[in-house]
Amino acid sequence: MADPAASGSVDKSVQVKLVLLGEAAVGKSSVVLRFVSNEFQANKEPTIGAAFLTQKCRLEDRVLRYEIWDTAGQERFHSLAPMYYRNAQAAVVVYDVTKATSLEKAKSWVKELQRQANPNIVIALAGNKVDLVQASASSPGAPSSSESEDEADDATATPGENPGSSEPESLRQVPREEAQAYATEAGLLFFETSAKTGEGIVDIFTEIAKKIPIEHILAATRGAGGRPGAAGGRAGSQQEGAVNLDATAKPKDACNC
Amino acid sequence: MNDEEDATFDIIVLGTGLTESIAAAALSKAGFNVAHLDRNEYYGSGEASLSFDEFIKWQDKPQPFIRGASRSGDSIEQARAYSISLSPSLIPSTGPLIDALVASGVSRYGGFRLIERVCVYEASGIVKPVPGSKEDIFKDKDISLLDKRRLMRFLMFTAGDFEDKKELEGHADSPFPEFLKTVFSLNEEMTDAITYALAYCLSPTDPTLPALHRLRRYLRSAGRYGASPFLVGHYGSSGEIAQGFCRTAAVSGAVYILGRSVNEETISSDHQHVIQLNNFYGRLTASLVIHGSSSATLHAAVVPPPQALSAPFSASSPNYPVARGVAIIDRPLSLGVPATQFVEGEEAADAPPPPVLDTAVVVFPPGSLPNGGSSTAPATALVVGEGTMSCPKGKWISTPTSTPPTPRARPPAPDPRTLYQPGALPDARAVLQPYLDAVLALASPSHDADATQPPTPLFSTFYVQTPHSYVSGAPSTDDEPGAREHLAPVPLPPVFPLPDAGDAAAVHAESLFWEAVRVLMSARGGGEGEEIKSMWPPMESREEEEEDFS
Repeated sequence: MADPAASGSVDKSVQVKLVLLGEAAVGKSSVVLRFVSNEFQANKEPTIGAAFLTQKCRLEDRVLRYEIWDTAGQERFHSLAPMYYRNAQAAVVVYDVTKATSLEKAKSWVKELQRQANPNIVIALAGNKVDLVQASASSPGAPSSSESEDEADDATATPGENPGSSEPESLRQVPREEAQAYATEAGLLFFETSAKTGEGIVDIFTEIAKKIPIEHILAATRGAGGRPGAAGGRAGSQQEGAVNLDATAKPKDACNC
Repeated sequence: MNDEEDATFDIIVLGTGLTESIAAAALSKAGFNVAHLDRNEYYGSGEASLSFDEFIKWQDKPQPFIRGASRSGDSIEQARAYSISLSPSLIPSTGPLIDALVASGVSRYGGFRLIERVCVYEASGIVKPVPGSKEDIFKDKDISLLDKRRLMRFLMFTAGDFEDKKELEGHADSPFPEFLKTVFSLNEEMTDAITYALAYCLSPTDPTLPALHRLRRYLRSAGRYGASPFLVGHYGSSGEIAQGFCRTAAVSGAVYILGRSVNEETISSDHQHVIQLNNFYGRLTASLVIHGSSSATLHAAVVPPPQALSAPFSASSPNYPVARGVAIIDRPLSLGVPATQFVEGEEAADAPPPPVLDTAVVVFPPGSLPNGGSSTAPATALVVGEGTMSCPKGKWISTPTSTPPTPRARPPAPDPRTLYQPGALPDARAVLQPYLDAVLALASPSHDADATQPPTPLFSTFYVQTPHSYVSGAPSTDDEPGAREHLAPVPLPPVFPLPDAGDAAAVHAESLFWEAVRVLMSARGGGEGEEIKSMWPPMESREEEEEDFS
């Protein structure tokens, strides 16, 4: 552990590839933009059309560096490349609480992940657009739940059950309990979120961070040529055999020696 | 768009092979509205990386250019953990493909690994590591001092500007092995090693100049990422790389539709191409269509690669069938003494040597197998293991390949458009089984005490890939309205020198790109829009990445 470059955990963040899935227009990109721009307030807007977005997430003494992949529309005609799932350690499957079919679609994505992806992948189900079904007065009440819990299930008792529920709640097509029950059964983290208000967004990523087997990733990175994420290899690229084309190519351009 | 609506694009690209995928990514990044289609459910067309089950499915379905398949085994454990390449190849560390990967940012999607060992199989039945550096040559005790001097002289010559050197005079077209023997007085053994394991010639009659061009590129590739000049991509290499370029295209807005074939293609009254897909309601319209080499029929203006670059990539690529094999084995190869480690950087200098070989190439010069094998054609066997993410732990995929010359298969003047005449197909199993057996005999002894026998493959298959029976719609259609807006790359031959297929695809993609830009710009009436100066615009998201890094 004397060699800081070799220890990985000390000053290098753990890289985690996270993929987004969900039906079109449920707000996948908005969820990520909300998450990423929250911490980068002062910075320029994240580039649309970036290969992937990155965001750090602090967790006790560890820093996770999420490498977040958007589908780039390739899911629309069932043309998502296998490369998309490869090495993903986490997935956020998004549906729209005002659209019942989007939960069905989310379920099929979860199946697809279980079929295609790394068996240890941490999957979170996010019911987005929850702002649309909250009476505006009550909106700040529900969330802010999951700060330190393992699961966020007991926090918001029943935002949808208020008898006086006015028009907003009638937009809801997916009862929270139904989605929660499915998530529990399928072993998923579950959140209701609003990319618009920010509700629940950071929670998704911190809860995923808690559940990710970091030690496992570190071990794999140091071990036999495994790359944590796509560009991966930040920590792992130096080891025998594995090559990071950019890393090696660039100094060469720069100093020409 | 959804599948019920008609949609209009600047360009429709058919097929997701490496060439088309690189072109699609560049066009999409340049701001053109791209629809990229493939009739297959998977990416990569003829260069795809398939999981084991996908591979079996692929093989069971009639494929345009695949014949005479035979196999043993239909299933394997952890089938999903395999990425079997339909076009196994190496990637030189410098060259058009690496340039495209880095410039496009696609390198960040994929992982790569250095080839650990290249060995040449000698008639005596032993394998010898091919020296990767001057140092290796100096240290080699089997080479006499005189031979070392000759070898060095040849390598210096090749690494330099040989085009105008007197040694080459009158020899540019002579067979490469002859050139090595007569001009550089190299002995048989070294000639074989240079011809087949350094320059990857496909026959003893390969002409000298293209072989020298290749060899120079490979020599210059050594040391960029390590001592070995060659890389192999993770997950079956070319198929995964194609996916990376497709993702890059999608990120820039390209629309992807896989698993639908073209039902009908028509030209509208305003010279637009209208494509109707099967099982897809909406029609796709574009002013330009690129037909990938795997899409069958067409009347397209064939875009040749730029002349200056064509020599290194296609001149020696024969347009005759290739015998391919895939075998899954559960023991690593043991290829003699460890060569000098590929690590040059200080960081990794003290890394322990790999316990077992993960990646290797075994080269069989013609006549090197005492019993069986071809006396006129070489064969290669690429072996990849877990480190390439192409198979599970403890398994290796070996892909023997040979291009046995067949009667009248070699046209006097190679014309890529020549229709291959079937009827003289080699029997893939007969051609390759001896080579596979020789590879298996190189496997490390099993831990089981009584198992001194070579391993039996868990799975093996052999098949023949024929050149594209590609009939170009006579170039005389130039005057026909609309015909000009229909492009296709010169179809790549089925086999290249092992390290050249990807570079050839990149070169072809670049000429396709520029031709497409020219046509699209003139369709727009010129003037409008910015001029496109480079195939890959500088990347913007770079700084963000670095900042986090430090």
